[in-house]
Amino acid sequence: MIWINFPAYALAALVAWSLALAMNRLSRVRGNTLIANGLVGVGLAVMATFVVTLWLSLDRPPIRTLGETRLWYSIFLAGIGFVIYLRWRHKWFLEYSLGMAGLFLLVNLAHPETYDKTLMPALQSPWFVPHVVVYIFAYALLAGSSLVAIKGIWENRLGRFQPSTLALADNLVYVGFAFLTFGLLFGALWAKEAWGHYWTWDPKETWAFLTWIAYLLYIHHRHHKPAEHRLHLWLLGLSFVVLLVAWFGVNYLPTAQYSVHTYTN
Amino acid sequence: MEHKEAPMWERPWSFAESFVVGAGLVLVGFSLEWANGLARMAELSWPANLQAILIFAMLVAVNFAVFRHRPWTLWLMSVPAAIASIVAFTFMALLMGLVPQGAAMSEPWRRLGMDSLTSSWPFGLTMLYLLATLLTVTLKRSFPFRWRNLGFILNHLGLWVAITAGAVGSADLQRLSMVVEEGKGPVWYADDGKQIFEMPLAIELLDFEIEEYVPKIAFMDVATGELLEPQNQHLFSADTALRAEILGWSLRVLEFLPTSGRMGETFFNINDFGSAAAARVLARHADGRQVEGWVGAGNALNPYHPLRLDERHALLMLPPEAKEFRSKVSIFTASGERLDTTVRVNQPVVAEGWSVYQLSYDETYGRWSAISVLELVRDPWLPVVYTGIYMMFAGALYMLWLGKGMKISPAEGDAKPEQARQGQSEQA
Ligand code: HEM
Repeated sequence: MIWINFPAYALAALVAWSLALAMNRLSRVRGNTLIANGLVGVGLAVMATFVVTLWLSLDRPPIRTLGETRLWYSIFLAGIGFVIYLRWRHKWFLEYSLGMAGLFLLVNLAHPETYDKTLMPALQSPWFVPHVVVYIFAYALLAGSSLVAIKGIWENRLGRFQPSTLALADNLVYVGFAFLTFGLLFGALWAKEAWGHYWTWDPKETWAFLTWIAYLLYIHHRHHKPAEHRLHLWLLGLSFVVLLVAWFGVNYLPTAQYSVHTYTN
Repeated sequence: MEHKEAPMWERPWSFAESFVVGAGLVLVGFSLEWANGLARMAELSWPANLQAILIFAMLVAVNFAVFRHRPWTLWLMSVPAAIASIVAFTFMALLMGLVPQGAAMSEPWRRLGMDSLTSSWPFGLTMLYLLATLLTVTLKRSFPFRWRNLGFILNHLGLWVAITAGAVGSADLQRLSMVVEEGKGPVWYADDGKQIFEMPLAIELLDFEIEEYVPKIAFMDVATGELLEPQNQHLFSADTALRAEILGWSLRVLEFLPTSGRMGETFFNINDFGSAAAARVLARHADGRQVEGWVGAGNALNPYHPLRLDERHALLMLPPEAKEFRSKVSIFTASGERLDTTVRVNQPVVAEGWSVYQLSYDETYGRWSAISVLELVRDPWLPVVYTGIYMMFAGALYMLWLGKGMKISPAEGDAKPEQARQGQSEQA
């Protein structure tokens, strides 16, 4: 019952990250940045340890339930936020991504998961891990790009928008989109093995496709009219809404009962 | 930003015109569907589908070669046409995502083809719009060929190949199901729900095997018959190593029998046909009450045996979930060969151009099922679809490689990637 230990791990990570953010704010004091960075790393290490022990004790990759994917999402967000911060020194980006990562941990604290070892036969495939991990990685990157967009929309209101903000979003979208494409195609190849056809317009597949299309539109419009920042910012924000539907919302849509991918009974 | 919008339909065509074309195709498509007399798009099967797609590709290519600089070609290869065609196609996909396909539907909707959109005219026409723009822009970037356009070509041509082969190949795709039963000899027919087909291969089920997980025990509200928050912690595995805490009750499984027989209120170990799982549970409430007893899972032959905790609550064992199921079969081909093999979920077996999948079994009997349901799939266009998919893989790798090197020429845009690349900080 390894999830029982989750609150301890999650609280440790939350405390480490909160301290890191607080120290980062006070970074004029020399040496603080180093300690703050160390604390972000500690939080990440704590969560990574939790995932590894969970994996071992479940005897299956912990990427099946929503709670488990939230866990990975939280780690990837924090990790990507950290790397991007180290690379570009955008403090606000670290704040946003650690904030989001913490939020996902809090959601998991509020909704403890079932202790559940079962994994239906169709999911027992070598495709399972790459497919889901690639997707979560893509989602985390694209969530990052949407955070950038929200900041851009806000700055635009205040009339202080800087095009370099959107350049950062583009980098995230390009890499995130490539991963999204991998996830989609892995999914198709796997579906062929598991269900006999690579694409069945099942609701979950349809929404995954819509997510892919939303970012595809962004990329093309961005290429076509590079100067229309306001529209691009909103396109990114809306794409994220579609992504969230694909991820959570599908279970609540009228077509959900026909989906082979909603594993709840 | 101030825009001077050009009047509609004046060249060059831009977003407004492109979207009108997309919407027009959707409307025309639904009208054709309503008129009903015409063959549906996906009904073109081999070799008519190959001929159709070759003619279509040739028309687009010839148009490109001969009229490359004419306004309509320039429009076809423009981003507005691309975006409008993607949106039109996506609109149809969205309809498919929101409207249950294959479901029973009242007459006007059925007549519009809403129950089978993949083979409908609006879907087909918007797809042709998409394929025309996609192919035209691919040709534009391919002639003259430059290495730096390779990623672009792989992405766009790969998508074109995958969509085209998937769509035209859907008429040649056959998915049939075959029910085989232990001890009943080889079966050489399969059906698609409407029609029975004689197959070039016969399959005999030697043995159907299933492995199950330890079943779960649910905490039930007797008054409503509902499982309390089944998604949450009110469900625990009948595993003797575990302990569960639910609404003040502390629950422990003392003994677990994967297959059992029942005598009065107790269960004993037995491995007869049809026997179900059972567990002896000790439940202690915080207020001192204590209940010990058997809870048994039901199946086609046995009723459920819940364990009552108090007036409101009871424990119920759910049917075990399958961990793995597989069919040991002999496959006999028309040429007189015999192949002894095992078909598992996720591991289809190929024979005579057919892929044989493990689909299902008689779930009311669970581990005692003597029946296995196989799916037989023939998809001659699959290699072509996969070619497209692998091209897109390569294209995505190329995107990863370029990643942040998004090219926006400084003249057009104001975002200078160089600036960002040097890690310009906002607080600088
Ligand atoms: C796998 C999916 C796709 C990917 C990854 C993709 C990617 C891209 C990228 C990155 C560009 C910018 C090229 C550059 O930076 O030089 C672009 C341009 C373009 N794409 Fe796509 N695209 C895809 C699908 C489509 C589709 C479905 C269409 C049309 C139906 C389309 C039409 C265009 C057009 C018209 C351009 C402008 C090309 C030019 O002006 O030369 N793309 N695409």
